[in-house]
Amino acid sequence: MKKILFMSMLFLLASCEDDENRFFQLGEFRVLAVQADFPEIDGNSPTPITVTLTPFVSDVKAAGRTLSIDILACPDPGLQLGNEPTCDESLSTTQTIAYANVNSSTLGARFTGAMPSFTVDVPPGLLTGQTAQTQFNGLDYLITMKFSAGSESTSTYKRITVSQRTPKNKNPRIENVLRNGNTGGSIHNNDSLGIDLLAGFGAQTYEFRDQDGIISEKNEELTTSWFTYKGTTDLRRTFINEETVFEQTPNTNNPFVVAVLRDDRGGIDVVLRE
Amino acid sequence: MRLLSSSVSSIVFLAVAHAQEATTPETMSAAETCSIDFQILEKGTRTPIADAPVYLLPDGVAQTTDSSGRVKFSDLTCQEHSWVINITGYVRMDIKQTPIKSSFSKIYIEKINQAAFETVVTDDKLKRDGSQRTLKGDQFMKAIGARGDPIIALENEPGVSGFGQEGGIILQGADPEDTRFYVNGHEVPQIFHNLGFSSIFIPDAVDSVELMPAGFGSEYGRTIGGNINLITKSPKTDRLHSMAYVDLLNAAALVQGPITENQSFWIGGRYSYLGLMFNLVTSDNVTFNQVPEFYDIEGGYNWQINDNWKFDLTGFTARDQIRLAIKDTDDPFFKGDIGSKTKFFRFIPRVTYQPNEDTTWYTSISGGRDYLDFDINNQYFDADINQFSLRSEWKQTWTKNFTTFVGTDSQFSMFRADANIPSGTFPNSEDDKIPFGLRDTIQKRISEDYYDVGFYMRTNIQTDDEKWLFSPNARFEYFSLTQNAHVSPRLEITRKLNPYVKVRANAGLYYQPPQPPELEEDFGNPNLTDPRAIHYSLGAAFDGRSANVGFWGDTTVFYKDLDNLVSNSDATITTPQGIVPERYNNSADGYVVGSQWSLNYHFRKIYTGLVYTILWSRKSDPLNGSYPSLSEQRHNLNMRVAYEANKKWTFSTRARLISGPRFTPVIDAAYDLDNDVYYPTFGALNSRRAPYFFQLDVRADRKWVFERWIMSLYVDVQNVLNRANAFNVEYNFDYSKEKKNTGIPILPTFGIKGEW
Repeated sequence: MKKILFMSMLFLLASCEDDENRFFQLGEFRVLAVQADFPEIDGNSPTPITVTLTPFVSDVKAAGRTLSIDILACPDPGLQLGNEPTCDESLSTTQTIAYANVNSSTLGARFTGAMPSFTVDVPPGLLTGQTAQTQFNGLDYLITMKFSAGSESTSTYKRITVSQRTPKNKNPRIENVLRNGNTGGSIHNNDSLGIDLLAGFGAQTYEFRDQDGIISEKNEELTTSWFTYKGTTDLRRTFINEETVFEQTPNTNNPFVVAVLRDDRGGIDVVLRE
Repeated sequence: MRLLSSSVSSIVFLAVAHAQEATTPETMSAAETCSIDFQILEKGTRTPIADAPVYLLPDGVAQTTDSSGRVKFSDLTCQEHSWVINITGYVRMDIKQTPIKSSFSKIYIEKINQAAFETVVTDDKLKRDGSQRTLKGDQFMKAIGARGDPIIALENEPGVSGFGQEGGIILQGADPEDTRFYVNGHEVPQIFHNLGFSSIFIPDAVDSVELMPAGFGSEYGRTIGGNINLITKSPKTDRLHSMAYVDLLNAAALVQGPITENQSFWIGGRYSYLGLMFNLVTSDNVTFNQVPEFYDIEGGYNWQINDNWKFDLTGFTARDQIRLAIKDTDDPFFKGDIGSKTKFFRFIPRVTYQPNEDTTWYTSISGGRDYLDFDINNQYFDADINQFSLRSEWKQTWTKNFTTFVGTDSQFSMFRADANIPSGTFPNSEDDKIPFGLRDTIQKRISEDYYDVGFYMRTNIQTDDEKWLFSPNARFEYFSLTQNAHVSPRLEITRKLNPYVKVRANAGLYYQPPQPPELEEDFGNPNLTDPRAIHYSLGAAFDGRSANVGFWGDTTVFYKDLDNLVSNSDATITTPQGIVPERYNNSADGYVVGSQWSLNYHFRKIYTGLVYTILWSRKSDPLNGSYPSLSEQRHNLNMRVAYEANKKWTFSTRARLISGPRFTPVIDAAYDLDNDVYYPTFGALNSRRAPYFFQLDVRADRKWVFERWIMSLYVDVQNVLNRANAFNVEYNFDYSKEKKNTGIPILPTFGIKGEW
């Protein structure tokens, strides 16, 4: 824990880096999120379970070009042990997922939105031989995606949790991105932005089994990341009851923001607000 | 030397007296006599000056002061008389007084040298443990760049690479966690405040700091690196003394003095106002729910029971605390409330029995408790550790040349902790590379009692001509955590070549248990065994000073062979409970080889010191192959010059040139879509260095000596060139750019101290 204290002291002096502020400002190609229809699946299933994944990207500046994704899927190679988040193509447990190229103009007028979905069949038997704790809390099935847009590329990965516990995790849902507490109107300079959750799709309570076999309840913590176009926000990430203030770039029109809502277990929702 | 100078003074002043006799008119009256009682005290400290001759003029009649500095002249005429006091090292004092029937007068005489660097007494005797370096109070109080602090002053010593990137002190290339800290021979969890980089004792409570790098004796164990032992002062017994100081970071006070004729005490404490400094550098992004603060309180009690028995008690506590809220960070894990509180206390009673000069026995017991509380949002680590230790030794000088030391140094710990933390938050963790937010959370209540038993024996055999000292010594240890017992033989041989030069060689075997979290079944691997080291060192010390003018210094070549080290593992193992990560194993080994040099020169008003350490520190394990240690500072050069401009002012400067800290470069990164954070891919372990460190410091010391008190002032400007030295290298949020975390910019500091 001394390391955590040390790291936090560094943040005192070096937080809010300009680099990351630029990352949240849209224009260049960005991978915003990848949503799985089932972030957590049943590890007892005797047959493969098909999961549908939907990438959300933004490519405003290019205003129309070919986007491609190279996709591999495999059991977690041991991220918690320090191994890289990659799938070894030479292993039989790795599957290659085909994905057809698309043009970013299909994302909509703002060149920001969902790409066509793809599916992954998660094989059965992943929990065989694992400890009772791992079987209950789950093991990750990894999907690596290398996005390419022209000469730019971004390596990403996402996990599907394979577990025995119930109920399974589901994606949180944003009902509205609020502007000064309201749903209407377009975004302007100094607007306070927040989100309104869809009833029944907020933070879930879930069970967690510790190493001694004791099962306790934990609560998800929802966090929203704010991507902006023609402006910035004072906070790049907000907790669920927190707001961020939009600062519009002077002499610009038609700004928009993208709110990416995450629970801390792989559940995701994405909403664009103009 | 003082007796000799007193005799010379006597001759001179008798001559002066006789010369004056011829010209001084006869004033004696036979009818009435008076007497006068002087007490001769050192100006400022009010220390009684014993055995000092006081001359009555014109006859040159000398009386010598007693232990309380008093001297009495009787049967004097009741007219004005003249006296002279002239003692080596003090300003001559001429006194004219007219005694009444029975008068008393306090006389304050001033030391000639009140400035920074006082005479260092040369001791050419062979030391019990030649590997040990000792920094005395006067040395660390006036060490440039140290703010008067005994621990920071260690940075000026050879073999000390300073503070590690995450705290801890690096000795001769060892990992910071391989250096153990002691107070009066009992281990403590920390010896300096995490938040303030000040030692846990106010400097005036510290007698000396013992530094034990490679080749230390069997009196200490449980480590393959080195030790730092802080020795507290015995209280003064002549009168009540007080001291108070303020500097840029904190304020402190200390009181000491006699309780009865054979009992005395000291008590002191310090409180920081570090929070004000932090508030200056923080932004709207950070809110302090509690400003950073630290304090320490310490005290001591001495009781000389009789000629043979002595009892003393030392007690101390130290606390560091901070709580803050971070609104926005690169790593979402750190967004939110963060708090840290560390506190511990110890009481160390000791009984010493010395029936004669040849026999000494002491036993001391340390009891106390450590509190460690950290939390980030809903993650926490709260630990209470009851700590007890025993140190006892019997020293027997059998003949002039043959002395034995037999003792025990044992510990017992009761560790209780509630943890809900990311894995790998302990030293050497297997997932050091993983962003905190991506680590598994481990929730557990830990309850563990463990003990380390150590017995040691040393035999010092000196030849009749006192040129050779053979010191075979050995330690037996048992670590209950690993259930392993070891016998660690060690040997030191010292040869005095001539009055100026000594050479020393030693070798020894050292064991340490793994860090307790590394053995915990859910954080580490309970099957680990004890890392081992063999130390070899060869050194020479010379002292060519005459009348405190000339060169002195020392050099040591050291080699540490390390094996069975705890290493990270990315493997999984199958247990009856299922497949689990191995996390650690004992497959690493390594070595540290280097040389350290210290050269000092004193001539009249100039003192210079040059310290240089060069070392290579490497490890190897199956996962990473051969790689340099994170603690490897290849070159460490420290140069100091002090100039005593006059008896009040001293100016000094220090330059340090040190190899940059090592780090592991990141060669690629992937975006974790579930956690909104990048996961780095690392290159070769510790394969790159940050740019070299260079810092120039200057300092001025001024002392005002009044009759009854002393005021000292120092002004210390650190990093006068305002060089941006990197203490480590970090990456931006997606690891596409490196950024240096730089240390202090130009930092003027000051301290004012009053002693009365």
